[in-house]
Amino acid sequence: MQSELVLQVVVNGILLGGFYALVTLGLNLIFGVMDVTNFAHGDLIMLAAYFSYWAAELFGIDPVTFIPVNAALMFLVGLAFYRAALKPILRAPAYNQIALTFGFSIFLQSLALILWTSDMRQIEVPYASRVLQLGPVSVGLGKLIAFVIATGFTLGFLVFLGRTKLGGAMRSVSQDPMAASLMGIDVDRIYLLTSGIASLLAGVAGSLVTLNLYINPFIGGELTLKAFGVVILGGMGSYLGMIVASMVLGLAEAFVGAFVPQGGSLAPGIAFAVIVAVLALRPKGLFGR
Amino acid sequence: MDMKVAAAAIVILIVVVAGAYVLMSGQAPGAGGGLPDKIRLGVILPLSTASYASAGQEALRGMKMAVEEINANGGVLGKPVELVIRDTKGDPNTAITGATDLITKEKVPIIIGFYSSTVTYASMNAIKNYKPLVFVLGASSVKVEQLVGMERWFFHMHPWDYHRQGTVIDYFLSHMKEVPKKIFVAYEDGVYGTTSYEYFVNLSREKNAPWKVVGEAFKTGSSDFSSVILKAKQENPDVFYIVGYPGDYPVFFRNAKENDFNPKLIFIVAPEFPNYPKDIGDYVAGVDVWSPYLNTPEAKAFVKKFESKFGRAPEYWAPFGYTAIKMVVKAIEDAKSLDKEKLISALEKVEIKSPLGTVKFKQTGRTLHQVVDKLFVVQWQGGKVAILYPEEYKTGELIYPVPRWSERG
Repeated sequence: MQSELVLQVVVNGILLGGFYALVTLGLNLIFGVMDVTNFAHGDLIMLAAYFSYWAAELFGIDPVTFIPVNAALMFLVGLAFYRAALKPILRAPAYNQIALTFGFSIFLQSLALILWTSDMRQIEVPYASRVLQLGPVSVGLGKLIAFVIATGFTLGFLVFLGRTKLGGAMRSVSQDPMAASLMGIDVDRIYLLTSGIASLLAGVAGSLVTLNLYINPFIGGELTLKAFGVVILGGMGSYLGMIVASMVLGLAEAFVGAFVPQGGSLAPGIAFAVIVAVLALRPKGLFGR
Repeated sequence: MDMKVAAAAIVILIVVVAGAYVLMSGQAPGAGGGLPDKIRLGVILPLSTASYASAGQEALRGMKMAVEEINANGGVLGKPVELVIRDTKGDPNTAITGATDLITKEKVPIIIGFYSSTVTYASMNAIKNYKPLVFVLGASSVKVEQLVGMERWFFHMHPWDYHRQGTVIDYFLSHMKEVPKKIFVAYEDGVYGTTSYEYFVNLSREKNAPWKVVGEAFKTGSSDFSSVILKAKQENPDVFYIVGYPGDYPVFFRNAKENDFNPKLIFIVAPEFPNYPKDIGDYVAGVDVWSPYLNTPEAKAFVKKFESKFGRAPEYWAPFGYTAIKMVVKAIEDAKSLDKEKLISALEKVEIKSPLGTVKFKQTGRTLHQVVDKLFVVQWQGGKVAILYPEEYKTGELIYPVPRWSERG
């Protein structure tokens, strides 16, 4: 029984970690390419979750089917976000950038609160609460779908970054915007697309959130905090680090929760204790440059 | 200037200011006999930011319905009623600022509201020196009760922990066909959850309950409770009892299903709060202070009106807010004054028929003015709520043990 429990906890931790990776990806991308920490990233996910919720509520569209539309919508939101908010502060001091994205986060929360109230909402997705029994381990279908799609988008994005011309341009800009610009890369356009893609990834994450969780205007805060923790733990801007750190965070939460007395209350805090411990040993994070 | 003269001047100044303050603070608006143009009632609730802001907004909906009805019937003492609203944001400091503002600046005759034991405790502690007239809707922790004790200015709607836990234990012990042998209690780690758990353990012991209790704390608002579920599964309890906030429950149900955790009963606090998705919320039982399925004329009329306005059934905070306003306005009408002492005396005598039943303020032995002291036990059955307890309101029988997750459609 004990080994089965461990196995179940590992599976739960990995499922959680896979979702954290997708949540973190957009934050990491904007940080890597633009050197801006976007504290509103979780709130973009919240916004996308509401899009998904209303699509299901008003038109009966399944949240998984809605992902492409949501991604496209959020891509446009990301473009607008760059033009309106990110572009003017790209060369501003870091404090100003934090103030802006933090302010944008609060703005999005207030907007959602006014438009949709603080009511807790959940889409009924019958298949999402179905359970698969895989030997001794049981897995919620909703979580498994979220994990598969999240992992697919995360890996797909990394291939895009490594193998395509646009991905290459993004990497060049992230390493040295001046040099990239001298080599004929339109840096402003890359920034614009980066913001769009980061927001697109938030759109996918938002759809997956509605598959498994209730939503309200404040769910973004916890997501941003987790993503921020993952980015720091993995090393700012490192994608391999991000994936490892997501898994570390997911597994740490699952294990502490299941095996430490009163761990259910401790888990969110312990995850950050792991981050503190890792940073004490490796100040730049697991894979920091 | 001579030092002695200066000292005397300062002493006189202090005496004058203090005297003026004492005179003014004793003088509520309208105390001189003349009433203001509007009867302004102070309201303080969590309306944004907090995960439980939806409860505050629901209470406010009920309050506004009451005010609308009252004003449509000519107000009170010929004056319209108006609510002066402050948002606590679920934050103790914001609540203290808001309450102080209502007392000192707005000078309202009474403050109605408050939610969450943590916020209410901090607020009462901060404002108790003003001895303001308050009608607290929420807060069930006895820590709040101990803080205010026998103060005459304190009125309270929500049942205290021991009312709730007393109901739960009485139900498990005397109204279930098979008394549970083991109960796993998952409780949120704030004041509300912790004190509820302590009460459950202590009252179980006092009543010589035969069950074993296992407890585990969790952090409210988390997106995953699988770890708590796995621990509970190891213990294999008959009843899995969750003391949390409304948003926590759907996550628990989902995680219980995913981890194939099949206690004979999942029991929660306030089961009628959100509309739980039927596929995971059915068969869930729980203890509630009110039910929209209550079979009284006042409850039915209120539910009907609320549904036509908002397109769904009210959650219990709505009749709480509604009834609180009705009780206060009735007291103002009887007192014919906004004077604090007269209002307190009038409130102590108020008795009205409301969606909560016939309500009045009763002594609990620890505080002077308590409205709700009896709770309901209910269970979701086929997308509807069956009332199981108390006997006089009963509409159905408990399904126990509930079907395993794998046996459900």
